[in-house]
Amino acid sequence: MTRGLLSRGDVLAVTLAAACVGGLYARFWQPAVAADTVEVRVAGTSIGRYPLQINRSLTVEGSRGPLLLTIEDGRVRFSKSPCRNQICVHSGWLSHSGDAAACLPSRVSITLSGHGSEALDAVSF
Amino acid sequence: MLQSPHLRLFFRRLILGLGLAVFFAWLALRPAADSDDNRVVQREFLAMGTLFSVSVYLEPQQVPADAEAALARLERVLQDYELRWRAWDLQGTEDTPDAHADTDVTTATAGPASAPVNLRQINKVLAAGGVASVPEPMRPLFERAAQLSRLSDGRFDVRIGALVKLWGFDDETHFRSTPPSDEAIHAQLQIQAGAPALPTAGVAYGPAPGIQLDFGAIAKGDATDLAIRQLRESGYPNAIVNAGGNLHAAGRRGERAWRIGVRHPRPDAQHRLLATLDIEGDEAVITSGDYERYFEFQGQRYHHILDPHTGTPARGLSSVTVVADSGAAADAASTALFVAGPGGWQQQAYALALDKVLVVDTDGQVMATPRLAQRLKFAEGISARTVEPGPAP
Repeated sequence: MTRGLLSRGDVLAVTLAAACVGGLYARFWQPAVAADTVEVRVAGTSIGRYPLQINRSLTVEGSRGPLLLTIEDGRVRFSKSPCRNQICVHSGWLSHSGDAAACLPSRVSITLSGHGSEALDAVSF
Repeated sequence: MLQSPHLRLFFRRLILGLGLAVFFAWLALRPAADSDDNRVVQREFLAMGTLFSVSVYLEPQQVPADAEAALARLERVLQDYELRWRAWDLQGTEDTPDAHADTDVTTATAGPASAPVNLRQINKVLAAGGVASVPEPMRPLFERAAQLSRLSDGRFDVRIGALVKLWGFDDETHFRSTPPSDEAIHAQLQIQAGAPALPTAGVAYGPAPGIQLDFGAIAKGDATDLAIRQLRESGYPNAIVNAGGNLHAAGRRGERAWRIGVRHPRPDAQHRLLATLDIEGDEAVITSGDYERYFEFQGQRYHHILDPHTGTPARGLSSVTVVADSGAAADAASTALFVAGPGGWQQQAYALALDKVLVVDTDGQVMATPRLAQRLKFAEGISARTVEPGPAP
């Protein structure tokens, strides 16, 4: 191996390190207004806080039966609700701090929060 | 195993490089510390058929326990407010206990004014053909509603209660799945046309056979005004009240302003928000949209914002956001502008003396008044046409 400024091994190490930085950004970067956590409440009482970076489905027992919450790629939504009006399902995906949705007949609500410098305090809709 | 010195050197450098990469990525991605986070006390509760979230920012001498007690008192005040302004008896089984039981309703008879204490009782008196007296605490909002109804040429009209019921939007748990018949809508419009207007300074209303009052298009905004007022009187001048997306903020959140977003009426993966806005001083931000409370029938969306003149859901706009000092005025105005539609919202804004309005039509075109446009930070890829409110040509 020649003794230049950078050996082939150095170039490979730098390339791998740069790929590592890029990969971490792609996986974890989010806009400053994005939420990082959703809090789920039933009848006003918190039943848990869940990170939005871990994809999962949650079944929440509301007063009219189970509701399905889906957390996916930094966002959350009511996917299924036993109520007829489906207002909570119509709220769609939520991803910003300060945003919220509720299934009133079931008395289940979700609230998003974040800690970025641009985090929102509320969302008008 | 790693006999070659070159290979050992390579792996040492690789591990060092990857370690530095992870460290720098962590530095760049970690959330910026917000020293004000622990100065905010928040309470959430269900009231007025929606989710309330109230946050206060504590002054240096204030402690969280006192703020939590103030927010608990506010929750009770808003529960009472709901009982006063709810138009109908609840039909579900999850009702909150009713402190204003209907035992004191005066049996409705045509003639002398009865003495109801809440809107449900007023509606019962009207349904029986009587004259309903308006309780003193309810008069200011009655007068405000009458004034806004006049200024909006009836686009905002609390007399549409029976029409709302006809469409089934009165019941949060059970919307209709089909629109009512044209005949039924026409019959109700005839009744409204013949009914007396809400008196601007009156203490009673009626007789108005077939009329039911519904303050749903103004009461949530008014409740946010009430909440901000009460918090200020309790020593919390820095607060934000969120009544199911109807917002009112006052003061600041420590070093920065209260910061809010406006939801996109037709969100996609890139655009869940239209824009963000920093609140200046004491302002309400109220949005009326067609995208949450609706049902679909034969491919057509029937949403809850009814045009009192046609008896059907207003068409042409998908969302209207009004920023104003008063939540009650902004709430009623957002409905009036939505009903006025793409061709009329500018004139309606002018008539209501509004200068901060954001509108999205059903083609996706975004429009804003100059006073609001200069304060909005639009989401990437979204731009607004600036439109000045103006009188009818």
